[in-house]
Amino acid sequence: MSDVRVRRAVASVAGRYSAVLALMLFLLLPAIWLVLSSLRPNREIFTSMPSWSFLGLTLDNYEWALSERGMGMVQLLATTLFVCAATAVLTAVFAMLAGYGLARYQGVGARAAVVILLLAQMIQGPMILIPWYSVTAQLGLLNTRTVLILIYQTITLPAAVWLMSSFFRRIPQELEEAAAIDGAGRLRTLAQVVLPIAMPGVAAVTMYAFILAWNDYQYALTLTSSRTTKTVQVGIAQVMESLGATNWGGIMASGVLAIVPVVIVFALVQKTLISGLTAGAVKG
Amino acid sequence: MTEAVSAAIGTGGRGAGRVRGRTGAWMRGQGFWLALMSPVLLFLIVTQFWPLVDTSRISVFDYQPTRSPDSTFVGVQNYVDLFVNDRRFWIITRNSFLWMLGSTAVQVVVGTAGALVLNMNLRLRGLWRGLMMVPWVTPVVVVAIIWRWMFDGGENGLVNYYLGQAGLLSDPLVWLSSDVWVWPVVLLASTWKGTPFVILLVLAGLQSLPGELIESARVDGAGAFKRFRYVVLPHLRPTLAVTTLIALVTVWFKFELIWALTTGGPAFATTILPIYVFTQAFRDFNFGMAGAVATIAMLTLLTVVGVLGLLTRLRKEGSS
Amino acid sequence: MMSHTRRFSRRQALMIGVAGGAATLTACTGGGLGDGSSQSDDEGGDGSGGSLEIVWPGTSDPEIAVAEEFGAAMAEQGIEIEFNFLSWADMQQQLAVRIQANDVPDITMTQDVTDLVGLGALEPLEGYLEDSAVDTTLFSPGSLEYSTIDGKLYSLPYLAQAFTLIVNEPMLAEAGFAPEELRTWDDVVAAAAAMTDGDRYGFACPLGNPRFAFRVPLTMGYSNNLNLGDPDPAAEQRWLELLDHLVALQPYRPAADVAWDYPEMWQAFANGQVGMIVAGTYFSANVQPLNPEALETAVSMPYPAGPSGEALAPVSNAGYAIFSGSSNKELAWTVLQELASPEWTARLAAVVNTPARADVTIDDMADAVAEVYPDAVEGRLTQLENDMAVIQTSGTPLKQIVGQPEMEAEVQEVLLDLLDGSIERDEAYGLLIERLGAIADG
Repeated sequence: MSDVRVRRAVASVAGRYSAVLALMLFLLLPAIWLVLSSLRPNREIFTSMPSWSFLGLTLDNYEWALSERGMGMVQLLATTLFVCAATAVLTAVFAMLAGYGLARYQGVGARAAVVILLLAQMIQGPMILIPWYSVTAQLGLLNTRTVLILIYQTITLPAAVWLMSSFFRRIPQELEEAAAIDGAGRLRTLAQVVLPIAMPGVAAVTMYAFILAWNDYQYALTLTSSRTTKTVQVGIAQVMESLGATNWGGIMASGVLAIVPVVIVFALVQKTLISGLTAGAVKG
Repeated sequence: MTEAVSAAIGTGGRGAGRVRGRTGAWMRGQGFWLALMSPVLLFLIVTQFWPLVDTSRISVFDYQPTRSPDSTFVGVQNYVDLFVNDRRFWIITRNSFLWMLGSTAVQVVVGTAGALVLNMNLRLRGLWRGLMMVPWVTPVVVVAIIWRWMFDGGENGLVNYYLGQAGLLSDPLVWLSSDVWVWPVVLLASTWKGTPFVILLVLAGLQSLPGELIESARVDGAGAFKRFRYVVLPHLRPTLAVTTLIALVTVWFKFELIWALTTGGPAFATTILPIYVFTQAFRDFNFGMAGAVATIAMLTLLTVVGVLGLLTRLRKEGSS
Repeated sequence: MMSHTRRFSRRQALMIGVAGGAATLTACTGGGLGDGSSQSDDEGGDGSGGSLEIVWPGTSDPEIAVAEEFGAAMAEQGIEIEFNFLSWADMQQQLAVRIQANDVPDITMTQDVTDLVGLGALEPLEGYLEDSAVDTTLFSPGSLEYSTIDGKLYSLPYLAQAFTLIVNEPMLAEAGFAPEELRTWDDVVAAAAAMTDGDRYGFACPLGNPRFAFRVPLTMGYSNNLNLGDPDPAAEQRWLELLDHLVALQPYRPAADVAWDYPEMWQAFANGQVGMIVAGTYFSANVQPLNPEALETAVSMPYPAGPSGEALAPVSNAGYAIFSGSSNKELAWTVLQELASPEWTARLAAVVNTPARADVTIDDMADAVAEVYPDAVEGRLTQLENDMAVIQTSGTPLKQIVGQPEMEAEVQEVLLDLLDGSIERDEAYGLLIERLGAIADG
């Protein structure tokens, strides 16, 4: 009897970990291939046989990726992390306010607000590049991190507001009514009663916005051009298709260096993020 | 940041407090909520809706600046050209649907499965959840290089090599030049890149699933599949609706990955509407036509969203 | 619910801390939000000082190094240069947006100037040339023509770029041929057949990227008195010969090349899996990192003669152009002359291609070659010498094609169908004439 139970427990553990293994293989195999390639000399990356060998690895590509004369990843990462963090914080603040409003508003045009958000989410890419360029050029904002942070709001805000609003809808209105009876104004209620409960949601939206900004390529390519405003995506893409040699190994190494910091941050904050999204995405 | 927010709100609060009379009453009623929304809505209207108007405006002009500096009003001619004279347009539209529906469906299915896995009781769960993010943050250019290598059409392409070793493939398959096989590759790559987003949202949905519910189902003798079908899935439905909507909209307009993998090829086999907008605008400098395609792409998506009824359902579920 | 969420406020604080820390870090290292906004705004104008923005799609390490040294040299003269590094592919998009928004850079590297001239973005250079010491007779055959539209010159070339047939000589010798024996298309097919053996192939035709898919028949066409951009029905015979030639080579190509972009082609050639490719004078820079020995054993030649033509190598260029919207064109011209001078031309040509000017010699480039090709000095010098000779003896101007990018996509589509056997030669010809004709007519 207990023998069966033990066997079942072992089978269950084995099942669980093989499921994780399968998932990780799917998600990480290409990445492992990336890491291995980044550790090989350029010439060997292109050898004919697929090789998973760990022999003869070198850090040369990383040296190139980090050095100022190579990819200059330190500067690129610094710029990108700054732009993404600022985008994320700005999105979180405004999505929080607007999301709260959207959750509670019952007046005329409540549905129109949802449609505006949806439409805004759709107007992307080539359509907005030329107007954005013209206007920001006149405002003297071109080639600054500010312009990136601003244009990224157009990608992040619509979904962020919507996520925040569904989160606020889950917070029992009795809480706010109780605070109102105590004489607190609505803004004080928001700051002192609602916001503390909503913090995980804010965290979720912050991270979501961070990644969306992180993955942009088109906008940064068009609106910035100098070294100090280049993002990781643009920096890596720029060394492709030169008339001169393409440093494939260096590109791979830069890719790895771009991934690592974000993954570490995520591993650290994943619990906050997930519980935040829980409340945001699921009705009570 | 909390301080910053409080400070901002404090200022607003004093301002609001000075408002008197009917305006004041309105501000204490629905107006307050509208005021909270207004910065974002105004920002989006100002920055996004002018391009929207401009795009549809230009779509009724013949504007090809490399051929002529002037633009001429041509009415619906660009649309007629697309619908009637452009032999690629309908293929590209079909591709767009294949891409949107295929990519979203696979992402949601795989993402849900992945979330179930990462929701299990595991050692080092934080690590797995962190690593799960890798595809999402890998720069597209790099994703394309890796995937092009893996699906290289020679016998030493990674996938061909192992399929050959396993005896599943006698001749190497030239994945990216086949009208048929290019799609699984593109969809797989997009699933790979897009799944972490779905995993995150679904994982979130799973956090609020009461353990007792599962347990009582287990006691009632429900197997794993039945527990998923009758307990977990109904609980996840709102999350899945949200995820699907965001994924649909994002996938419909995201073309960087296809572009980097196949540049829309072979020929036009993987060209989707946004790629067509891009090439019409920045390769052929046919801005009028680009505007027409962009307008069609937006209207189509609006229709799809409307048809799926997601808009109303989300609104309802959100407020219940 | 309450207790559940409150638990995370510390983590929340940590996360904000991480984000904030990253922000602070950047602010310190990068100098704040508004940093980097050095749009080339109109200072100077008297030619002695000021700042310029140069679009520089040469992003390999040695090309960037040249840019930086050039910038330093200019700075000594009080001219501040802001380089805008990006890839050739991205350049088109950025410039298209900037031209539409009336905010252009001052100088750009160019290859095909057709679109930029069509957009009215480039400044004709004749007026400047007349008053300058630039001797236009020094430029290689074909190189100036490629930048001339309607009789006006729009860019000053620094590189001459020829499209050629490149042969792996040892593989060819093994198959019983010498490079000099490749005189006609039939010879090419025979050699390709003899070189094909098991998993080694005589020829490759990368069809995965429209630009390079187009370049193969384009290059062959020049050796058959045929311009692909001019779908003239009178040239039917030459078109059919070209299509027949492509079909004849079909059995000697790796099946996978239909999906290849350039990187895969370089790789296959460098590894000795493919014996002949249609490429150009940019060969060395691309193959050296993969296999430096290949530079010593590869022979480049004008594509052999077709039935109706003679062996010719179409020559294009890379050059520098001034934007007509630049607010400081006089200064831009001063800088452009310096960029196109023998000294700086030699630096770049040694690295990536061949010099556009006859007064740049192999000796001028030897130092730069030694620096950039340390493991292939001999090979690179051989290639350079050979390429320069090919351009001098067999170079013919590559004709600009209006709507070329559109045509590239059409040609790629038809070739894919022709070469996988789903359409016949005659049908392919019909489709090409119809579709290319429609583009040429606008």
